[in-house]
Amino acid sequence: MDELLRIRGLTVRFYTYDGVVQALENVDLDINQKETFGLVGETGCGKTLTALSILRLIPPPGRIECGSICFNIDDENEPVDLLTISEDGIRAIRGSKISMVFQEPSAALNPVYTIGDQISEVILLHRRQELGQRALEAVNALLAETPGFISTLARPIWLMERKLYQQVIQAPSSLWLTIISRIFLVKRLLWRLKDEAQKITISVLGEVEIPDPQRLTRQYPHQLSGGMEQRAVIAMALACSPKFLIADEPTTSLDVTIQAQILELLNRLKVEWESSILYITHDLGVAAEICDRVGVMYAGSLCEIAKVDDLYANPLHPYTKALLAAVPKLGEEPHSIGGSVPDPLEPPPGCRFHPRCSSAMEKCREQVPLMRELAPGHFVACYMY
Amino acid sequence: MEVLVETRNLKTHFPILRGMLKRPAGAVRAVDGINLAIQRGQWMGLVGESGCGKTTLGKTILRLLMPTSGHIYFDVPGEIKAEIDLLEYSATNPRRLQALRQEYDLAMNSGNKLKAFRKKMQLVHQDPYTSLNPRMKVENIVGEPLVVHKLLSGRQARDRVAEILFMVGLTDKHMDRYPHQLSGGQRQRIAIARALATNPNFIVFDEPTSALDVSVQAQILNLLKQLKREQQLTYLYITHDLSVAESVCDGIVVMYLGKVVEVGNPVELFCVPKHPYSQALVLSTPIADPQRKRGRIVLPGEVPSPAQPPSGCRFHPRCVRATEECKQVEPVLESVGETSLVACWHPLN
Repeated sequence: MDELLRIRGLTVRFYTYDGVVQALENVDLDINQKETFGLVGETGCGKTLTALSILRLIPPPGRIECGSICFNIDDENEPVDLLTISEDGIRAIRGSKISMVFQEPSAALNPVYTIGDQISEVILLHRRQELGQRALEAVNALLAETPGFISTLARPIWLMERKLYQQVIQAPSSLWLTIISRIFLVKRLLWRLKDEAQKITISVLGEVEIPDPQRLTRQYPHQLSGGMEQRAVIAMALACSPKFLIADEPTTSLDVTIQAQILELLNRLKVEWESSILYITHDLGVAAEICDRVGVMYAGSLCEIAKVDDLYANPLHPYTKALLAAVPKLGEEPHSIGGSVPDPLEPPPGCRFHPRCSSAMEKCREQVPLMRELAPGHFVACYMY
Repeated sequence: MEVLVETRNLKTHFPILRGMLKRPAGAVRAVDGINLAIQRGQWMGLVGESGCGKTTLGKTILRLLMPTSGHIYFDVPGEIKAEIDLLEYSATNPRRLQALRQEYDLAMNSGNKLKAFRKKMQLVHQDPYTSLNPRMKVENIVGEPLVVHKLLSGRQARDRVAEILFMVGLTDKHMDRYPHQLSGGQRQRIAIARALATNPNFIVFDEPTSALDVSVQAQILNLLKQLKREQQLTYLYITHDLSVAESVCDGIVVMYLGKVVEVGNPVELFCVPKHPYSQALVLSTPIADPQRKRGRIVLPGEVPSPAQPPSGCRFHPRCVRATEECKQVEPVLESVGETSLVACWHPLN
């Protein structure tokens, strides 16, 4: 399978007044084309930070110290390193090639704009050329079809519109166009772009199985239920048909029946749009349902990566084993993990799990174990093997 | 087995006030006619989706909310409950009925009488990050019930707090800390310790582990199990997570839109659910085993508003088995098999 994203040696640190927080330490990760990769772990283990680093959205005082994130934009071009390209370059990728669905849908949506406005904003930003094309076709159709008296009156305006849309198609972000579109009456002539964006919005909302998308575009986030809000956020993320979708706990705040609907939807869309998903979750059950491969994170580093069937049937890392044993099951006592997650300001030396590990050796206290491939596709960072 | 807590036809409605005169224009029927019996020593699970009235029911049983109608009995002998039912039905002796209800029915109590009951029934809230006062030390948080109920004071209270902290797996060095110095699991332990301070018989847990990680959740569940055994407690455990209810509870009540749809023991409920809603819930709960991908039933639509519940069976708009009968007549909770009760016209299995 072809690689889509390759993360190597990603290290993120937060420089706080209390000291340096080693949030991510040497994260290596590959994500293939058309697969769902699950990232599981407990609160504060760095799942979300990994996702934010991919989009270069780490909030200060955090800093990406070293590493590389290579992303295959398309088959013709060489992969780009997302950590070294320019700010404009990453902006063109955010939301169009890679997009993200955040955890809390009600916090991800702006309460003072309608759903339609918020989704068409993404389309207006990233698909301007396509919108120009559609608008031009609409104007051309008007010029060709409308007969008689109305036509003679409106023709000059339509011709001006046509001129503008041709400009939009040729150079969507040219300086001339930016200046021209600030002028009051000229701005009005570009209304068809918004109109076309609204039409695309409605079709995307239909895609995520929202009943009556026409009405939804005029509604505000507070008028929707949690499930509907999350659908709208997913629609926004999919508006530019991205190759790579990052879903950060998209169903944590939803009920199980709604969660089942959203998981079904994501699965269907992944197949239809041929994109990959990085699915971040703390729920091992959800990961088992939706993912093809799963990576387990603990205290800022990955400890095990495997195909989903391998991981659940044959977990190798002691932390993965403990995590799976802690999941409640019918008629079984849930096993808890002794101790607690280490303080990120002073992580233990060596393997970060060794203070809680029942099979820790002398070596674990001193050296950090490296990722090794034990079986095909099954990677573990542990000295036991 | 002896019944410790029982509700009969319990209703809690929240009026919707409209207009300048704030006249009631309908009501949100959060809890709408619930019959529930919890046996002494039982760990009863209450599951359902958000907005189905789980928390309202829990709070009404503790009389933190005033019920609109119905009875709540706490540790009342069966003969008295039967007598109240009979008097209510026959309406022959209203004064005797009034006197009995004043004496035994929690729904009629208030003031000091209610306060005496409060010692025996406690609540643990959902989110340990918001349920603890950030300006109080652990000692004062856990000791406050002792002060309120005038049980112990000074040195004795401090000793008692240390004892309870030890019971929930903390030490007396945590006594002088503030909540922000503790982790989520430790905070939830503090909340449990506070509930235990007055030596209650009955504790309502309102989603105590939904804000915690799985490994911490396992710690808390094991702690609850141990406490229940040692202190002979009775639990009502409210949760939306079926796998938790499945693993720890002795009995489970499934609620939908203010009504109980199914009562049963966990094994039966999860292996052979009888109500279509319970079945959908069971099948949409993710299981940490990729081999066991079950035929997932994806319920169409969302939970309707409890202010305008559908006619007949409240689940009929989302139910695949619904018929004309379901749309018009509301099903009652009837026993199916030995241990289960189900409210459905066309039960499964």
